[in-house]
Amino acid sequence: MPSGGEMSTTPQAIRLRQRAATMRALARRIESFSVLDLHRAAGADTWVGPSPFACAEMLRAHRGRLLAAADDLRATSSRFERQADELDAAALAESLSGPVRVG
Amino acid sequence: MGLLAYHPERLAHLRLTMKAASAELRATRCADPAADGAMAVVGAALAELDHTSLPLVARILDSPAMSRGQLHGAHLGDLENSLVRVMAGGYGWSVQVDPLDDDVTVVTAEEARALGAILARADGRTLAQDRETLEWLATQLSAIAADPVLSREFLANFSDWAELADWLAWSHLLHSGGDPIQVDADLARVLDSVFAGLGRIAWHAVPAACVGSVAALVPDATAMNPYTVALLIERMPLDDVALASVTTELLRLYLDLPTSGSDGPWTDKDFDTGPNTADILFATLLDRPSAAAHFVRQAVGDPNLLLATAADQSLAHEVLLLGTDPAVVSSAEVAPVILHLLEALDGTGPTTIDTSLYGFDPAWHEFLGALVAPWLIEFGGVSTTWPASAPERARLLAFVTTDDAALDTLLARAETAVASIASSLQQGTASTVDVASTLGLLLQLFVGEEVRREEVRERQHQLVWGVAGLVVGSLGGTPGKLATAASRPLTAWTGAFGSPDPEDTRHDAELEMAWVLAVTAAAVTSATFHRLVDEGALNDDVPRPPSPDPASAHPDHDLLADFERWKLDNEITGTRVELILDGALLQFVNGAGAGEHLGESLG
Repeated sequence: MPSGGEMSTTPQAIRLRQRAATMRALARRIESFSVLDLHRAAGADTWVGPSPFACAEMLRAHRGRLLAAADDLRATSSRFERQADELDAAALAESLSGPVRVG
Repeated sequence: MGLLAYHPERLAHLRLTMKAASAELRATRCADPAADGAMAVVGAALAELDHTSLPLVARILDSPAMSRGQLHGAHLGDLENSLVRVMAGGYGWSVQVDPLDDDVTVVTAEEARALGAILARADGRTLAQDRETLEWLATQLSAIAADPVLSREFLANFSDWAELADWLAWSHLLHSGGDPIQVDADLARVLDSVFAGLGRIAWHAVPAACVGSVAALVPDATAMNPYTVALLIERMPLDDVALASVTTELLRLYLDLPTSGSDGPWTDKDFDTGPNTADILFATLLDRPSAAAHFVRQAVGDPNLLLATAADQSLAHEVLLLGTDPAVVSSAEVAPVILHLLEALDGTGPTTIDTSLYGFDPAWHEFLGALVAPWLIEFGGVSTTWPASAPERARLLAFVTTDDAALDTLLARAETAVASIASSLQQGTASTVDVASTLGLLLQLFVGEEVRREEVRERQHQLVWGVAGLVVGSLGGTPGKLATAASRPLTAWTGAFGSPDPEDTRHDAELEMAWVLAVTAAAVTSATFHRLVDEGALNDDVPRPPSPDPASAHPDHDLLADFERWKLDNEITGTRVELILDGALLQFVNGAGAGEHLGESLG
């Protein structure tokens, strides 16, 4: 059963699942960055003025871009998993349609 | 270059957090090409932290804060530095020069709060003439007004509006024409923008159910000058009824307002020139016909609100014409407005207007011609729409038409008057009897006016020749020779210009009136006759009804006699058709007597 990961049958599928895991791990790491919370510490409770405002805005912008990148990584991971499943399904179908061995 | 304020310990903590975040980002690796996009984002965040944010924080922490003297030199007291001033003065934060200039179109919640707090304590008189700061303030207020949250933050800290707003209004007044030497339209426009921002900010805090009262619209309104409140509400999105109510309330306050003391802020009552409270409000109403209609109906109980408030009384006239336009009000709605106004001006109403006051627009009488033009049919003798007797209505219309300028205005608007009557006929709100009655009344008024002018001419004639006779008499000589000497030029003058004769004038004018009525009666009767023939109620071999005889000295009476004879000759007398034809003819040559009689009673 390919999607359960019990019987990956092709090297390509195995490689795709490894890459999917890498993408998910990177997404998790990005989502745990302390930079994502920096805008709070850089807010008006700490400093005010044109430069502090610009700095806090920049940190908010980076936060948004990093979270979007994490989402993209998860989407890529799901795509790799799906491609691996398709490869496994094709390999299984080919093995079932081959010559019958008489025992 | 602006200023920045900071809490040193918190900023030091921020630097540590930034360094940790930078280390995290730097330690992140991924060789898979599918992660290239994400790694680019990580790299950009790292670069920004390492090359911009951390150096900024480090520079601030490693530089000495500004001393008290340096702060004074750096204009910490300026309105533009409100937030830095609040944080430094109120919370003991450190201050340094900020290498960046502020983006004046962007306002944070903290900036809105600080601006409200500092503005409430600002020196209004100085600020009111500081063009540069006012321009900055207008931009900031506009940004705050666009956001309900920012508006509430601002208002929470902006208390005691009245004096500051009154000083700003004084400057607006001064530069809009209050002082002809200091007129500055650009500065007045900047102040307009400031008031627009303040008004729109205040609007965010107005309870929906209370928009019809000044106190509910503007904080501290009761302590402000009406002119100030007018500038604030001018741009508020009030509905028509609320705008009318607030206008009425403010004009009452304006009329009751005393002149100011010597310390100011001075009000429009202190200036002889320039716009006043009413001018601002009336200009606003002119864009809102329905609001103008509500206003004139609300205010007519005190006609002084309408005609004795505006510095530019043409604005008041325009508002009245707009608010009594048949396009926006019905006859029943407009009745109290026009009747009360005319009674107030001719001195017969419960409230009168002293038109002899200094500054009262001398064109007020002329305006009345335009006011009554669309409503002539309501003045007719048989109309029952308005709550005034026929003689009262006729007297009030005569009050308008006896003034030359008013009559000229009315005649210039004849097209409006005719269109209005046509509309009433079309909508069924008036009958041909109403029209006949109005026509009769107008004709009698015009006859009376012609006679009056001839009487004036006669008195002029007597005066001039009386004086001339004295001159001749002073030269000496026998009475007979004197009489001869005086009579020759008089005879020559009379031959050239005609001797004044009011009775003759009345006769001619009444003959003309009789002609108008007779011709109209014949035309209406003829149209009715043809309709009856078409419907089969009359045979098509019956001759047409009579027309007025051009040689007649009494065209109306002769037409009536010819008509009676025509009915007998054609066996119409005593039939149902007779009633219909009588109805058509008699409303003009006899039925119009209602109007004629009224006109005569005025004579």
